[in-house]
Amino acid sequence: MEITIAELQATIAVAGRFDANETEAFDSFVSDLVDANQCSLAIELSQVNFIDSTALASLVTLMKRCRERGGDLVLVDPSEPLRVILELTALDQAFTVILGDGNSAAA
Amino acid sequence: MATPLLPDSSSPANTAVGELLSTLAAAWVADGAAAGYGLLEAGEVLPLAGVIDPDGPMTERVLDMPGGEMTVLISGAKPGGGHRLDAEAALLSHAIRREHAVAQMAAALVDADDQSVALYDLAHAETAGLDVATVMLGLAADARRILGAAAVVVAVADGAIELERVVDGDERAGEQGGRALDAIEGDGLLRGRAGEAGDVVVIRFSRSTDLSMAVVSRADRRATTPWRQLARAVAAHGSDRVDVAVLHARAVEQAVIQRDVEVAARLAAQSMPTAPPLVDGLDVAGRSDPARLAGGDFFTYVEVADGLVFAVGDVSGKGLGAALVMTTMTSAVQAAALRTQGHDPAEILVAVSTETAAHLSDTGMFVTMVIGHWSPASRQLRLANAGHSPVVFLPAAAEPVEIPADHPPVGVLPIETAVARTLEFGDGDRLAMGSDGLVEESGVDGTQLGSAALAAQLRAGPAGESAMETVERCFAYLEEYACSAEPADDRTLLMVRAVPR
Repeated sequence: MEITIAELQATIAVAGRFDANETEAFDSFVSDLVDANQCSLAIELSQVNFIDSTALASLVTLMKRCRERGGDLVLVDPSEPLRVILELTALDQAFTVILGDGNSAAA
Repeated sequence: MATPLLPDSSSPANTAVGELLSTLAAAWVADGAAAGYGLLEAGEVLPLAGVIDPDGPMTERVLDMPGGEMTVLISGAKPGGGHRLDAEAALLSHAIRREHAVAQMAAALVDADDQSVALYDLAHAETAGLDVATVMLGLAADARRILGAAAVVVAVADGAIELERVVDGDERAGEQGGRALDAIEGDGLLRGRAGEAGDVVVIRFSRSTDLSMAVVSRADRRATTPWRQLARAVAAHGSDRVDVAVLHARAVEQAVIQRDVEVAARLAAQSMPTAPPLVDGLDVAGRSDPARLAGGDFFTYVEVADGLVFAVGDVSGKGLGAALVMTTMTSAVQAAALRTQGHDPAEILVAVSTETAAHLSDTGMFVTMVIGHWSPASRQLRLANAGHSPVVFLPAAAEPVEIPADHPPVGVLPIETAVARTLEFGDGDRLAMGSDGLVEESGVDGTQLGSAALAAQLRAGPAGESAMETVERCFAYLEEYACSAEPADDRTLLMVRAVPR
């Protein structure tokens, strides 16, 4: 028997500091999901108070893997400091971002 | 062949008994106490002195000697001859017992002396500089001597994986010890069976390494409680010794890695320019301080036919991994600038993105980067910005302007077409390109410096301040702001300033 989940979006909430110390656990967790063919992911980021470049790189890698498999990675409701970084780095042009009011911020 | 006088015929005391009895018997015969003396052994008569007449009168005397009773046969005894034999035999027996006691004491003293030497060796063993196997062999040998064991097996493991096992002593006893180590989990005692050496005591210690020791007693010796306690003490000490050796080995390994890292960091740092370019009409200065030995920040210049190409970038992540990618990026920028002769930074950005996309995807990193071109002819700066900040334009006579990123960082998505912004760059106009480590530096109260404060600091210098002076002043300010704490991130600043030609 083979069980597949199709067209369902898994939502993962990340809170607190999201930095190089956390990415290994995050990567291994989401890797399992993508390996299980779950390639439509939403990352809820409203409670993240700090993000560093290693964590951003982790999200970029995950986004690429999801898109390669026909899915996408959506960043949901990024907190204020995170939104600033996404704008400064123009990463908001690369990710699909859903702001807190439900509007897509994608360029 | 006659039965020996004492159970152990090789004992020196035994030879002495035979000789003494013969001498005494000869004296008794000479004094006329009897015609002859002999020893009765398993129905046979062994002559000692004189003549034994089997047909004449015979008397037997049983003597209580060390090692058992002895029957002396007296042929043709005169009255009183038997008493003399009894008395002198008692003296002889006493002397022999004393001799035995002395021999045993001497043997015990030799053993004790050997144990003392072994204890001394154990206590004074030099472990630093020795490899783990040598230390284990030394421990097994010392333990065997101290405990008077037939064999000692020492094994060192890291979790479930046994790293090394050594044996000192008798081969068969060693095999017995090895079997006990495999069979017993934790500490234990296996009594020796027929055909084996003695008992086996297994002792284990878990410190930074796991040490197991099996001590096999000699066949004639049981593993008594005090002996097992001594074995445990020896193993405890040995565990410390092996620990020191393992830690030393790890430290050596760490030092080798550290040296390699330092070399790699130095090589990575060498991919950045050490002196500013000499370009007519432009004053340039750059500085990059990694947070650790090496970092992912970089800046570079390339002199091209119609001016200067420069770039500042920041590889995601920190440390040596980021530094290695950084060297690839500086090479890619230089190659693209030289190939295109660099008048269009947008074209260089596209080339760098194409060149490095696969490498960055493999490493899971991205690079924020601003690439600029300065033309002395038009006195214009053109900038292509892929996710980099802060990039601050500081006009001589106007408020600072942040130059935003028009593209996500290199390595996120392929950059197939890029845009460049053009700045009129006249005398006194300046451009500062930093890395996020500058604005995100935390002060003593935990607040980040921020881009506004950085911009203010960039303008705080005296009029006509050189690019190098601005860079050094800003780094000094940053150190003061961070209270000289270790930088949390790489810090990089490249300043360019238009000067009269």
